[in-house]
Amino acid sequence: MDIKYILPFLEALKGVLEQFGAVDIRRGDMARNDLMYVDTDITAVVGMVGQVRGNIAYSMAEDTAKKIVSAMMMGMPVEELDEMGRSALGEFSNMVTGNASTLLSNSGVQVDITPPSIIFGKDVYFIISSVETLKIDMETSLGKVEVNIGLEI
Amino acid sequence: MDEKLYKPFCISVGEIIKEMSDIDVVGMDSLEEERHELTSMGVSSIITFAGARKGRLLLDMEPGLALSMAGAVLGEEYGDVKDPMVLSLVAEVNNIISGNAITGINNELLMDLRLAPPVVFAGRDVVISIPRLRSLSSWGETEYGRIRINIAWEGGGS
Repeated sequence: MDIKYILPFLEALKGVLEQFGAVDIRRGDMARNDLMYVDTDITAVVGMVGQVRGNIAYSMAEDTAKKIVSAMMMGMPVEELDEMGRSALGEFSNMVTGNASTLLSNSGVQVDITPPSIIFGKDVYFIISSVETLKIDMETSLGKVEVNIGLEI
Repeated sequence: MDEKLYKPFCISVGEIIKEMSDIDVVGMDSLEEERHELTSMGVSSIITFAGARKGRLLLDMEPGLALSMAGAVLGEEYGDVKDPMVLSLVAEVNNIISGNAITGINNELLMDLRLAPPVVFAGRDVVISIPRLRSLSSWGETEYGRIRINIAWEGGGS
């Protein structure tokens, strides 16, 4: 998978998290997989159509999700991920993938994103691409976000 | 509800599963609104689409049905729904079901919808939430287990 298709997602994630006050954002481990195994609590998946087709999944622990939602709500305490919290997580994944699609468009790759799905459950086996999935851990002050990028290029 | 946005998926499920695996799906003739999150029955696949409108199809089934379909299509016996071959088969079935339905919708309603690749997953106590989308479910039965589809359109299905 060409790096020019990967960097926009990492830049967009960093930009959105910084917008919500996260600091110390750095890239952690990377791996290529056919099967995506998630041992965190929550995975938000957004699809992509156009010149590049694929799915992007953002997985995180519940505690990290609560901190992100709280940051999105101006620091309001988040005890549980209720309907509003889940909606905020959907919006978060939409913002990241939408910003990444703008960055891709700026480099001449026209794409559109599809509605997010939020999947709750630990110990879940996913396939998000028939080609391969690139997993990148992003460490942040709000916790770790695992980005899985499955693009058919 | 505009039935033209929902019925093609219900019809496509029975046709494609019968064609691919020779398994009969009974039911799928009514749609019920889902107001809460959906709990996966064992194996689930999501396909999202975008064009003149955006939406999503969730295909959800009991493990016995996923394993039987994989056995019938791939000619081998499988015992675990987390087997990549079983997951890939369910994803491909969803891809064909959605592709078939979306082709019909595009031809009739000129919506220029394009499909993202399928996402498929299996795990215990998995709950699926699709924020801010009103959705409708249709249930079917097979001799190997139940199947459900859940269809959602941004802005509702009218």
